[in-house]
Amino acid sequence: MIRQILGGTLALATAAAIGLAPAQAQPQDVTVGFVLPLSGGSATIGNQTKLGAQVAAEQINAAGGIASLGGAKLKLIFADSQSKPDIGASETERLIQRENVSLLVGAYNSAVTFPASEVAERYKTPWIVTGAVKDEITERGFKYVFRPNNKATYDAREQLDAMDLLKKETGKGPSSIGLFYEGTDWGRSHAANIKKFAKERGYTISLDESFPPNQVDFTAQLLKIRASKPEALIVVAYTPDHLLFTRQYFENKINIPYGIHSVGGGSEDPSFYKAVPQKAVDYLFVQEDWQIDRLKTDKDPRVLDANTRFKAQAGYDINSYGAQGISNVYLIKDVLERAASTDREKIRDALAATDITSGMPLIVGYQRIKFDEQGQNTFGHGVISENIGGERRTIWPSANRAPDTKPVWPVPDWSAR
Amino acid sequence: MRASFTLILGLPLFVAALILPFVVADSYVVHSAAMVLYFAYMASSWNFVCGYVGQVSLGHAAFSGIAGYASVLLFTGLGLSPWIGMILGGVLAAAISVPVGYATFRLKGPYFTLTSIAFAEIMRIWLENTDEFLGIPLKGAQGLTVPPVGGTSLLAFQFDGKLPYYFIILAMLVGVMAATHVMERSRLGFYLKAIRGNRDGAEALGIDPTRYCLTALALSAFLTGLGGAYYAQLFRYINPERNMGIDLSIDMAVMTIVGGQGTILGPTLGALVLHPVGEMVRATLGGHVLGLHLIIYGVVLMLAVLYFPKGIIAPLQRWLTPAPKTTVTVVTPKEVEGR
Repeated sequence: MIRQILGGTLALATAAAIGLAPAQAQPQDVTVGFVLPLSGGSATIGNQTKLGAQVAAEQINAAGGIASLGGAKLKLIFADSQSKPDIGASETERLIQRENVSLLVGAYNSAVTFPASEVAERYKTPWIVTGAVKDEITERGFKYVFRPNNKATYDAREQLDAMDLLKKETGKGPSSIGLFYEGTDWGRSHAANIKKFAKERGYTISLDESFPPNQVDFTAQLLKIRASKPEALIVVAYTPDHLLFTRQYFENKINIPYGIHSVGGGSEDPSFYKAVPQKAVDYLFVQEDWQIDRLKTDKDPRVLDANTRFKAQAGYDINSYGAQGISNVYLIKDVLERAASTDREKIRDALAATDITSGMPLIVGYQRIKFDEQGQNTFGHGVISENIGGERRTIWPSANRAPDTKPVWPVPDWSAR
Repeated sequence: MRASFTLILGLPLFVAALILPFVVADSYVVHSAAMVLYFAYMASSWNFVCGYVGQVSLGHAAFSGIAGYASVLLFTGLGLSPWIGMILGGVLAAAISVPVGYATFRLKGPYFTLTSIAFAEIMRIWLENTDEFLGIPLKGAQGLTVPPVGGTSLLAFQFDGKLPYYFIILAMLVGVMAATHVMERSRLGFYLKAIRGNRDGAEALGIDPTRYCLTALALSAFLTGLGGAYYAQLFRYINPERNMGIDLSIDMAVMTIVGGQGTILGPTLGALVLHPVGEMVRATLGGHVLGLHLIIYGVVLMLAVLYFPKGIIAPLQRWLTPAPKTTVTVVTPKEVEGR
């Protein structure tokens, strides 16, 4: 009896010792706060970024955490901005004050990122911008705000860069460009940027047509497009308008020799491709927020593992916003390894000194992450894809183009398809 | 009786609000409390007309946006202090409210509500799609930013800490309550209550409903405008979606209705209950279950409306100031034979 009790006590004590010992040796977690639109209009996107970030954190933690911090694990805390500026700012305040985060990531919506990152700046807490493209976010002279992704103006530049590249490769290209865009902040600022770059590069604008969102018929506009004969057409539209436009454009069989160049939005939405016949999107150029064919070209086992984990939860492959979440968290790992501290000041300095040229942080498709003195990654870019043989293949920049991708330029006439 | 009740409940609340930042010296709490006061202020401004006239406006956010934009633009464009910009913005909002009210207060039925929604939405959509208007850079949906002057400047309405913002909005809230109190006791207040009670009857007594409703609307728009300008200074950012969107209009209406419309403290009580509920469920559940925090907020809202149709102020009032036993005679107008 006594032996049993003694034995039991001993067993318990041993168990307690085993249980306690590693717990004491365990380094403290590094808390990272995320401010994302998890409900409301942009909820889908916010949750894709969230899932990407979770997948990356799982991978990093499973692989031993942050080595320079004795194997510290990443702990991600997600806050919902509801896409509202004041709620994003309040949540930022809470994450900094209450959750004591070492650094922050957010917030997709430019309107939220703008005031929320200002809160972070006031508390001297590093903020990594994810998704938001408003130029001014990294034009305020802030010290704690860093943006790995592109600015709004880059999108327009890239579309013309792609035309320039194809022109250089083939000796053929458009001289006039048409603009067809929704009359929103997004559409109009994009059109203004295109006009600016087009002028610099000697393209003429043969059509400048905007439309209010959620149209029911594009016939009149298509007549205008037919009449003005642009050699390439830049389209800015979200899913519903992009769908309608693509269907009607397909029915009208208008020939545009150097194709339709969509800036994304609707043409990046997977449901768009389910709703239109493949023939209607053949040779469609899309400015993508990430290297769309990466999963086919990148054989890094971590990328493939990340995709398996992502797909298990989301039901579809990693997309641009998921990739951004993954990239953000791997960037944080890189920064923490170099900072070797959870101190916000040291993390800021390490962020400012970032120069990544390989590995998972570049999953989005960048060649490099290095911030200028305003915290903008000047190497951040999207890619331009062309829909060839039913797949969106990256054609620009050439560094991201797969060896077996042969751009079709100019695109064939409808009669030849 | 009403005044004493307002004091019984309001004074402790005011004292609590005064000492709160010193008891809890945590800037997150101070910020959240400032947001409660901001919503209380906005709801009280809404209550100023809607609570007393009995007409629901779902477009008040437009007044907030108009004044907010005006104050920011006057500051960035002309270097005018936001304090002056705030007043001018409020006056502009009041001026714009008059034609909207003039056209609709003459009608009975839901026309004022419908027009208020349409008006605010037109304003928002126009602003979201206008980069420049008569040379004024409105910057469309991007919104406007208030450039930091660096450090604390009373004149520029910019402070490093949260405390000044907190006390400014507290003072504004006390101000709007005082204004409501004065209005309740004034000729305007009695007229409005008469119009709410029986519009035809009031008209028969020589009260011009349109005129007095308009006066109240203009005052309410002015007050709402001050709140919008405050918001712009607090966040140093203003955009059409948040500052003119229907969400803000609904917040103002819902908080007042839940708290108790047509009372001085009701809107503040509504904000005091609903804002922290939203904040707490978001903080605890926001990152976990999709949208659950919004559902909980909705359930609290439904329960409040279901059990306190006159607002949560009604049971408080009964409890704090037991009414003397009075007999109420209900007089129903008789149908006249042969009419």
